[in-house]
Amino acid sequence: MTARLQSLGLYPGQKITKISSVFQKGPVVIEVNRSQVALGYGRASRIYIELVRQTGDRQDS
Amino acid sequence: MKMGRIVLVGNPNVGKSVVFSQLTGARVVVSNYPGTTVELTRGQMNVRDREYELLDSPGTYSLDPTNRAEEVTANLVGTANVVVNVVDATNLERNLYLTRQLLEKPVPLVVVLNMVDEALSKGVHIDVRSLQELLGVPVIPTVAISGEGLSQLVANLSRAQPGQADPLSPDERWAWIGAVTRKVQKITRRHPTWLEALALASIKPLTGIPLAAAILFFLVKFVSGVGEMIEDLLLNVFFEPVYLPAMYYLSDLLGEGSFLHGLLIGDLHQGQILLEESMGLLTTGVFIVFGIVLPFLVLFYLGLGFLEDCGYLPRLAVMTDRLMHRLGLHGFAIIPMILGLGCNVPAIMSARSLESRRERFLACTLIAITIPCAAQMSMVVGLVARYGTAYLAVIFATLFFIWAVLGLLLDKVLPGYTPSMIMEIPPYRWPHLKSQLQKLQMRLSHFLLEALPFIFLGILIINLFYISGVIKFLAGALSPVVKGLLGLPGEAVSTLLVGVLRKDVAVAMLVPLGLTASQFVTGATVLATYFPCAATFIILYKELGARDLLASVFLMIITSLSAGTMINLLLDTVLPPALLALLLVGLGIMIIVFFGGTSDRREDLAISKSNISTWKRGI
Repeated sequence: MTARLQSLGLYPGQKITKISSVFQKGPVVIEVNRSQVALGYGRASRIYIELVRQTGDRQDS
Repeated sequence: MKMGRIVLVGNPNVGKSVVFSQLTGARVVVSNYPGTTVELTRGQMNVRDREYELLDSPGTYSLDPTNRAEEVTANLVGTANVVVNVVDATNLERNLYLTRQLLEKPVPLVVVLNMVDEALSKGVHIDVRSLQELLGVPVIPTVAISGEGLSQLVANLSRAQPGQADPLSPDERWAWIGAVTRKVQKITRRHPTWLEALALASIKPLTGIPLAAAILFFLVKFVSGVGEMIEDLLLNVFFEPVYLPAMYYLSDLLGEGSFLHGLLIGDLHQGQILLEESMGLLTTGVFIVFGIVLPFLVLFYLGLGFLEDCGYLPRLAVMTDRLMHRLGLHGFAIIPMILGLGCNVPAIMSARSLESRRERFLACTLIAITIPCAAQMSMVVGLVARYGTAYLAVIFATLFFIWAVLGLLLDKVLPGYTPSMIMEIPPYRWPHLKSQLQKLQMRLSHFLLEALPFIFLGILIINLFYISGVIKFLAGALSPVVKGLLGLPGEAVSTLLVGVLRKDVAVAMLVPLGLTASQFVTGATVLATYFPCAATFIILYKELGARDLLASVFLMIITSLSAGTMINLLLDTVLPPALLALLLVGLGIMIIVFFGGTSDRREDLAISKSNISTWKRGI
C-alpha cells in the first residue's frame, strides 16, 4: 500500500492539502503537487499529518 | 532485419493513447480518466522509410506494478528498442518517479513532455533545455491532442539513449525529483478558473450528490427522449413508406412458404409483414439494428463520450465510493458499470484496473448479470413501454434489487477484503470534438461489425431450429422450468437460446409469443440476467479464467431463475407493477443501508494484523 501511495507522490514529509471529504466515512480528496487524488477512508485514515496551516497546506509525516 | 519496437510508457491519463493514435493513425479509445487503456495496443509507424512497431501500454505510476493492467507495462519495458516516456507537464513531480526508474534501466529513452499548453495556463513554466540536461535524454514538449511537437518527437527518436543512472531507493528518488523540479520548474499562482470551481463542487458531497443525480437523470432523459424521437422519425420517413413496400415486393417475388421467404422475410401475419414480429433477416433483423438499437446507441455513446472526456467519471467514483463499498467494491468500479450500459465487453475489460481478483470477480459478475447493455435496453424500453411505464420500472427495479443483494452477499461470502480506493482525479477538460467523433465512430463500427453477424446468425439459427423441430423438443424438455417456475409458454425456450447469441434479438422474439404484460416482464428480466451474450461470455472467460467463470455462470442461472419466479408469482397477481417496483427499490436501498460493509472492517483487521507482525519482527 505504501508503495502505491509513494508512486503517486505521497511520501513522508510531502505537503498535502485536503480538498474535500464525503460524510459517512466516504473518500477524502487531497491535493499533492497540483494533482488531486481520491483516497478511500480506509487508506486516508492511515495517513498521519502534521498541521502546517489551518486554512491551507498540511503536511504528513 | 527485425523490426524495431517503440513502447509508449507513462503515468495513467497523460495522453499516451493520443500520442499513439497520432503517430500510427490507428484508432484507439482515449478519455480523460486514469485506466482507459487496459491492454497493449500495437500499431506501425514509419521513420525515415524504416518501419517500427509502436506499442501503447496501460498507464502505470511505477515499474513495481499494483494491478494486472500495470503488470503488462512493467514487463514490456525490457523488450523495447526505444521507450518513449510520456510525461504530464502539469504534474512533473509525480511523473518523474517513473521517468527516474526508466533512467535506471539500460533501455534507450525519449521523454515527451505532454500537455505543455495546459501547464502554461496553470502557471507551470518548465525549462525544457535544463530538464534535458539533467535527465541526459531528449525531452520533447508536445500538445498531443492537436499534434503539436509530434514531428519533433519522430525526428528525435534516433537520439534516444539509455539514462545510465544509478539505481536509487524510493526515498532517494523523491529527493532527486525534488532537486530536479526546483531547478527546471517555476510556478506562478493565479486565480482558480470556473472549471476548477466546478471541479471542487463535484467532489464536495453537498453539491456533488445533487450534481451526480442531475447528470445521470439528464443522460437518461437525453438518450430515451431524443432516441424515441429519432426512432419515430426513422419509422415514419424510412421504414413505413420506403422499406416496407420493398419488402412486400420481395415477399411476392419469393413466394410465401418458400425456405428463402421464411429466412429473409419471415412469417406473415394475415398477409402483413410486421417489422417487430416477422423474424426474417431483412425485416426484423434490419429493423432491430437500424430502427431501434442504433439510434439509442449513438445517443448513449455521445453522452458517455462527453462524460469520459470532460473528466467527470472519476468524480462520480468519489461520490459513489460509499455505495460501492457496501457491495464489496470501491468507487472506481462505477466506471465499468457505466461503460456496461453501453456494451458489457469493454466494461468487463476495464475491470482489469481493479486491484484484487476478488474485486474483479465481483465487478464482472455484477456487470454480466445486472447491467443491461444499450442494445438490450433499447429493445426492452421500446417493447415493454407499450404495456405501461410501470412494467418497465419493474424490470429495472428487479435489476437494481439483484445488484444490491447479490453484491452484498458476494461481499460477505468471498474471502479477503476490498482495499479502499486510491485514484487520481484529472482536471476537467473540454472534450475535443474530433476525438469525440472518432470515438463515436469507432464504437458504432465495432457494434455493427460485432453485432450484425451475431444478430443475423441468431435469426438464422432460430429459423433452422423451428424448421427442424429442435425447438418443439426443447420446449417439451424444459417446460417444467419455463412453464412451472416462470409461467412462460414452452416456445419461450427459443428466446433463451437466441439470448446466448444476442440479447436484443432475443427480447424481440418475445413479441410473437403473444404474452401478457407480466409474462413479458418475466421474460425480459430472465433474458437480461440468465447468461451473458456470446461476446461477453468470451471476454469473461479471458478475464476471469474457467473456474471463476463457472462460478459466475452458476450465480447467473440461480439469480435469473429466482428473479423470474418472483416476478411470475408476484406481478399482477399479488401486486400491481408500480407497487412491486417501489417495493423492490425500497428493499434494495434498505438492504444496502442496513446490511452492507463488512469489507471495511476486514481491511482494518488485515492491516492491523500485518502491522502487529512487522512490529513483533522489529522486537
